[in-house]
Amino acid sequence: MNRIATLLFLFAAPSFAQAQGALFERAQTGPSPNLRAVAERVRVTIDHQYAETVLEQEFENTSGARLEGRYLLRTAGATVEGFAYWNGEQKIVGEVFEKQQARNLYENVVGRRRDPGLLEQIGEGSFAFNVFPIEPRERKRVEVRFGQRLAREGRTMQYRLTLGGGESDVVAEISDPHPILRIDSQSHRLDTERLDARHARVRAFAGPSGTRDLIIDVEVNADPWQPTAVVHRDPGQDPYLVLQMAAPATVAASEVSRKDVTVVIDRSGSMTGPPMDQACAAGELVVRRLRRGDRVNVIAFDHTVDPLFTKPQPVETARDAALQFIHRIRAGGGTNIAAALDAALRAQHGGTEPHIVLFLTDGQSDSESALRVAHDDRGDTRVFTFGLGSEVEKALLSRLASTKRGRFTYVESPEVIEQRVGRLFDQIESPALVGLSLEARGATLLRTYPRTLPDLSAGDDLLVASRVMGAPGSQLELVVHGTLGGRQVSYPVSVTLPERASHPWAGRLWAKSRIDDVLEEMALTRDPPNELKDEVIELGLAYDLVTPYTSFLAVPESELAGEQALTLAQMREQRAKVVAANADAAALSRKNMPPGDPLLTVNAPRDALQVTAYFPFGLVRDLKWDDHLEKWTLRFLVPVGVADGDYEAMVVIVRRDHTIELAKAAYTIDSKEPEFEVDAAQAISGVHVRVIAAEPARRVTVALARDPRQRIELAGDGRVFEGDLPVRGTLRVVVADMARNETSREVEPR
Amino acid sequence: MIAALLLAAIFTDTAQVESIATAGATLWAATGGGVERYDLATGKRVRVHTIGPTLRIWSNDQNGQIAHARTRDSECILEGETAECIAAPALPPSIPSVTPLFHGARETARVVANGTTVVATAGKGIWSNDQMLTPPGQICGNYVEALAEFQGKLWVGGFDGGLCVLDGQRFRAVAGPFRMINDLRTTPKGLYVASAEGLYFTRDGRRFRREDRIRERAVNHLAVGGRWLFATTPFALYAVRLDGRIVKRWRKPAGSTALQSVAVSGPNLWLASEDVGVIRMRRGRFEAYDRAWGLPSSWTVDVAPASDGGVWAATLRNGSVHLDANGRVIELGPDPHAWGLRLYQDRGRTLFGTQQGLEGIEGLPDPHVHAILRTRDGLWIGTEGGLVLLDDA
Repeated sequence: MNRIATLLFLFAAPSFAQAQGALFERAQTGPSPNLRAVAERVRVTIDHQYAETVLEQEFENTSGARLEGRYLLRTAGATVEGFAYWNGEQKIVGEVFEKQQARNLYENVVGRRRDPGLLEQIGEGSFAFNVFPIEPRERKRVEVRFGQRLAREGRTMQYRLTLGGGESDVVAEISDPHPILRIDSQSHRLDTERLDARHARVRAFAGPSGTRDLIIDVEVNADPWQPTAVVHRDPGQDPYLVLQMAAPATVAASEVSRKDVTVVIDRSGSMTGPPMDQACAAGELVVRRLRRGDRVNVIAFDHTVDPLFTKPQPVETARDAALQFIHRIRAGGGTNIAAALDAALRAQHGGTEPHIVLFLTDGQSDSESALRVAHDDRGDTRVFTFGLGSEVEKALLSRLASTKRGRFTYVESPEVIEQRVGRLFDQIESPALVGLSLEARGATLLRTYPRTLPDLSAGDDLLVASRVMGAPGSQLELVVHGTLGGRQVSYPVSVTLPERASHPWAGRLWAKSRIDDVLEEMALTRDPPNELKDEVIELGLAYDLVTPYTSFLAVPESELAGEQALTLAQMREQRAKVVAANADAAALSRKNMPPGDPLLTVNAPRDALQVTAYFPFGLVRDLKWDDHLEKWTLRFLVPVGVADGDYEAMVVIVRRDHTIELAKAAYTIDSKEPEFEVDAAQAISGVHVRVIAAEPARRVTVALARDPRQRIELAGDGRVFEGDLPVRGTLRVVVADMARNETSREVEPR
Repeated sequence: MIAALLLAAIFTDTAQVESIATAGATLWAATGGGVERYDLATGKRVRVHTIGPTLRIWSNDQNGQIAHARTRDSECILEGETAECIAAPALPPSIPSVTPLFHGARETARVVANGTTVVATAGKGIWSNDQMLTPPGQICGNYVEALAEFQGKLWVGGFDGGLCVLDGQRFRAVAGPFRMINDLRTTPKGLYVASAEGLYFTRDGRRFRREDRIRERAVNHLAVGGRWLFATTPFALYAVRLDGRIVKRWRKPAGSTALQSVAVSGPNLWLASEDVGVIRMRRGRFEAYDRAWGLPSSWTVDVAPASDGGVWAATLRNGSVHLDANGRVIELGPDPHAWGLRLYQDRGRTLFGTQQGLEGIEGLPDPHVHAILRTRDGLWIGTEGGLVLLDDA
């Protein structure tokens, strides 16, 4: 059965993402006494709620025998973005290749002195690769890189990582568009360096309890319901957009919507025993938690469909009947998901309150029919699907949910059905902002995920990823519309599409969504066309993502025989072609540098062979590694006399594996004094001054020329500034532009 | 005006080699410290033309007596002991390329000449048949940002080249956890190093301790007044008692987020900022004097105490200005278009280092004057093209 990555994390309700990496002996199922975690180094970058983690761990073989290890990385919704291991001092870095090619080369090389590493996905959120050999007393280092989005609950987001043991060196760099109010940890002592209001660097030290779970809480000063937009763009490419919006941690009762809830329970023969008991318990839990004003219905189905009511009824009068109906459900029969879904969607009232269907099933059914039912339904019912057990049709349930504003939850065993349903119900029982839609003006959104926007309850967090078609410099206006407490509301955010902007994770996030969508499509299609699989492979190669068709392969090239080396070269060539065709993805590994900054910083691996900057005025300089910033840095100054304009320095990065990247550092020279118009009119209370700047101004100051202590900074929108100064006499007006160029003029008020 | 000055010595670093040219047994090298001429037969450096950071060199003279060189904005003819330069347009950008490493540094050129293989590198000098030709003991970088006298010796802080000390006639690199040095200040207790990596202190000149109570990393200027060391970062002013026991911090003085420099003058502390002009601290209160106040510019880059308890301030592009202790503008410097860099009080006068040079001094390897220091040896001037000692006794 195909393993399909779920879309659950895209609609992430407030939940923490956690990850853990450990090295085991291959033959064993649990921790080995022969492999001891010695040290680990964790570097986390949290940018706009996206956490990129580089986890470097060192393990020691404490036995007298050579061992074969298996490194396991378990993540909850994280995306693996890279891995490497060391042979002595030599770092072997993984590259993404088509899965079969990677495996073929791996099988060819394995068994020589030193095995390559092949990182593959082995389960939901689980990745592994073998490590061989680990000599007696050898210390083996491995590195994995992964990214995960941190959902925000109200103002707070949480980062979690289970540390492997041994000595830990943890540094996190946090950036957010909102001022950071608080950074603390329940688990570790933090040493926080505030770089500015929106940027901090944190070093974590183990607390006295020695807990292995690292938890970092970050609270930001964000207004509730206020969306933020992040754009990543490489020059000449369509940008990526990530829009995020967090609900407040609590909402007023007046803002909680009444709702209709229909519980649909599969009673097919395969549900016999614990699955049936647990499903019924979960249904009963939901019914009991409904509030005054809500309405309820229950539908049981196998190959036939039996609803309790024709439409949901007020819970005050219907609760007991619903509980009894659930209690009497017995398993037996086949599975007809389409019919059950159709019945649930038809049995709804009109009205604006949310209509919610909770659909629990463990079976497989005719996908086409079920999808047709969902597509044909013109109502706005939210369908939340729960897939029970390993045989369930995950792709179908996931697509049904995404089509109908809901979420899909995979429940791996009957024991946790009630818990999972209960947890989801915690999130949806108080829908606050409902009927969401996203409007875009000024540019076109393409391939936007999720396909439909879910309702948001207290503590919920919305994530939308999209490609954008729009020229640099154009203004993209986004508006999230919805209903809050019965009122129509709109939450706007606007962003200027830049020529270039560096948040590569936004591209990866979109690519992952796209891959998940294509995989789902493949699972739902009887004979999926090859183009779909090819697209998954291309996206995996271009964005360095592990998929069912791509893997990371790290090969110690010294171990390759002639033909194998040729094969590897051919694989790299093929990958380079794909990357070139997805040029914006290749640029994701580049980092842009802020214009005008005399400190050039470049994100490149510490062990890069060369990082060299070529400046437009003929200067060529090598950057040096900065241990604190953990970047390559160079100070440079632009010579006096360089004409105003936009410039670029090219940066060549040669990685240890001899792959080459080209980055660009853009900066702007602006020495022109700003021009402005000023009107100063005497008024009763003093002087009213209005200044119109010809270009965006940073600050406008007006002072009394004979006593400059009497002054005011005018308020404005960047172009037009106004204010009143309670003085009489000649004024000195000073305008400073964004580059801090200044002009001043003395004026006599009229 | 400084009169009758002699350049007693010029120190440059020629390890950054941009290009080379050979003519017979003569090797010419364009380096960050000027143009070198070597005799390949003996392996000795014959001459250094300190014309500033040089980017290209070529020679059509088979006798090896004449060469042409390009700096950023001039073209020079080098003949014998002389170098004549004229203004020239900026060079086009180099084409990015991947080159091998040689002794850990990027290889910039390789030729076979006079029976030897000559390799030029960016940072490790010139090699001939795997023997280094570039003389050792050179200054740690041509871009001199800071100077101090400590332990009876001259200490040099580089813009991007770390710290070194002049021992006799040779420089010795001093290992430290910093590379981008902004200022050096000697106190009775030891030497403070203000760097982009933080504020460091050493008693013995070998071991450096970071002052962790300075929260920000980039420390850009230092001043000593009484029992206190004052330090600026872009966002804050710090006062560190010289015994190390107390540290005080003032965040965003007068609202500035771009502090550049600090000076003590009488009872007042003065700050230069890029955004709000000159700031005076008196009895713990800050007051800013900017263009609206009457300064030629709010963008100031350095301050130095004036004899009247006021201050001289250097602006970025509009010369210098003298304020009295109450912030009144007393006078403007002679050149209202000078691009200011550094002010220095020397024997009762204020020296103004600019991007156009230091008034009255010719022959500097580069016109950008970033550091000035008087010792018993004379007046030291740090530029972007090397360090100069003036004998103005």
